Amino acid sequence: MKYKQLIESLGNEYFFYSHNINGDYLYISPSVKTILGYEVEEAKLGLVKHMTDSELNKKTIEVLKKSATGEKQKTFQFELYTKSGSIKVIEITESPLYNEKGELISIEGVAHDITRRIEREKTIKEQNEKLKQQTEELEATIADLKQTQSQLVQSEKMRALGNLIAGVAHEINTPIGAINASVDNISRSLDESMQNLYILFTRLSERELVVFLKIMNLIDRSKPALVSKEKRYFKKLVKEKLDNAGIEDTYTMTDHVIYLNLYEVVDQIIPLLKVDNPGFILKSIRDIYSVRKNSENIKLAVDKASKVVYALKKFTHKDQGMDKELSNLRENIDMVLTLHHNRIKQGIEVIQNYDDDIPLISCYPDELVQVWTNLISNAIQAMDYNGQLTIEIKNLGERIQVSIADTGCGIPVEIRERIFEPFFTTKKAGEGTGIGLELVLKIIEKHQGNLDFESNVGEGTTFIVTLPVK
Amino acid sequence: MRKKAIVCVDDESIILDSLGEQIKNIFGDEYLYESAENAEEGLEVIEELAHEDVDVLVIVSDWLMPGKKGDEFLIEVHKKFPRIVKVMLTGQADEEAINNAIKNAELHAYISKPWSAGDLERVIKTGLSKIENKG
Repeated sequence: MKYKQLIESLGNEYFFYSHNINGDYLYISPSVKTILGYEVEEAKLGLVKHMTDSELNKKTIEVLKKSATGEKQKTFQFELYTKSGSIKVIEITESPLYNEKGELISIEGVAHDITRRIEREKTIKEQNEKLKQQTEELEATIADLKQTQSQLVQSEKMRALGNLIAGVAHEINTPIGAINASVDNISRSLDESMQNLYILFTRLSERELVVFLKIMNLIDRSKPALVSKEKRYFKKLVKEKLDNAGIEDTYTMTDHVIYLNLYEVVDQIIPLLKVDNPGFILKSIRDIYSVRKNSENIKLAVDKASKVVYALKKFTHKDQGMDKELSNLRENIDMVLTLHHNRIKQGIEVIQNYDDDIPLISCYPDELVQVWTNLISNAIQAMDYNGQLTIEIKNLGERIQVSIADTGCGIPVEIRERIFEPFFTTKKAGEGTGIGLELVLKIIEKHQGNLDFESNVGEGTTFIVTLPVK
Repeated sequence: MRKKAIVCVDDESIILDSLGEQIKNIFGDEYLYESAENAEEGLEVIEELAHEDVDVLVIVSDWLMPGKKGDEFLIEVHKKFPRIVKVMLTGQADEEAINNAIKNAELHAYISKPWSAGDLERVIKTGLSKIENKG
């Protein structure tokens, strides 16, 4: 018992024992009482009978049997009921003791109370399990959130699209209506012209035919169309002159003169109208000229419709690849203005200050369209459809700066910090998802650009986007 | 005999030009045709014509225009000139606005863009006969 004293000094966790080959205990150190609660004499009656019937102990009994025959065993564990009925896990290291003749005389054992270590390990294991489970839950939540985010981005896009659809219907139905009416007008004018031809050839005097040709020659085709206000001004002027010249049916004659863009040469026209049938002559010219005028109108309408369709196509265009492409910022922004035309025109003056030397920039054009759509849409709403929208594009060399300024209500100081937060919105439920500006920021960050704003309550807000050229 | 007029209000010149000519083609020299690009100008035109002893019989107005919308415009016209027949011609049907105009401006008819010459003619003619019946 070389280490008896040493072992006994480790009384809180260790006890020491030895038993002979019959299993009778020769010695058990007193600390067995501290650890298991049994008196030494009580313990000597046998510890095996205090073993629980756990799986671990079934294996341990086998090990003990082998150990008792003098076969050295590795450290093993068993579970024991203490005197008070609790369970302790004991780790045992046994070694056989032989005499000089090589006969097994006893088995000596060191018992180590590892209950607390096992409990700690168990707790750690449980905590690990819990953590693992939480991590899995978090991962699932993140995946859900990502899904939700992409749905929101999509719904933000759809909302922006929804805003446009109603307007787009109007924007397309208008030119179609104009084309329809113009085609009607052309058909009718051609019918009239064909009827007029007979009269022109057979009834008009030579002088009247000369007048016809002279007036035809006076028509200035390059003249830009008059707006209704100008038209009314010239109508009055022309009618007065015709009245003064003593011409009959001046309402109709004035109408012809205006239609034929002759309002500025009315003084040259008046002497020519001193023929028998000036009304017929002007009407015949008008029927011919109508084809041209309506064709031009159709062309304008087609341009307008094409522009809308093109912009719409661009807007709904899905990302084909993930590569940046060289793109024209002016076109990118103008396209958004085209789509918002019906919302803008109600009372917003658009001022476009674009530098002449804006290079093509390397970007994701469809995503930038979303940036302009959001910023312009916010500006329109901030101004409640009335005010001035100033869009500037500046060439800063390595970078391009786009600023979008409105003369709207401004952003109150107390919410300035929050406007880029997802789901923060000042709009009524259903009007905004609250992720418009967050999306804008994300897209600009993806481009390695910057987003800034200046705002004065009651005066307006300017959003400034800078984007690298390359 | 007093002159009679039909007034068109639309912010798109392509509409005003084609619609004006179309109406003139249908109704001939019996009427004057005037146009305006927005509600404010529309009212100005009607008042100016009234001042010149021209009776405006029919107004054909767009709904979505810069400034005042079509329904509000027609309501305003109705207050000052209740006898004028009001027609709305627009590419975007806003139900609320149409109901507003029916209720508060005695809207005679609503035509959506693109329209047919036949519809336009029928609507204006029924409007004109309404005025004649009233005497």
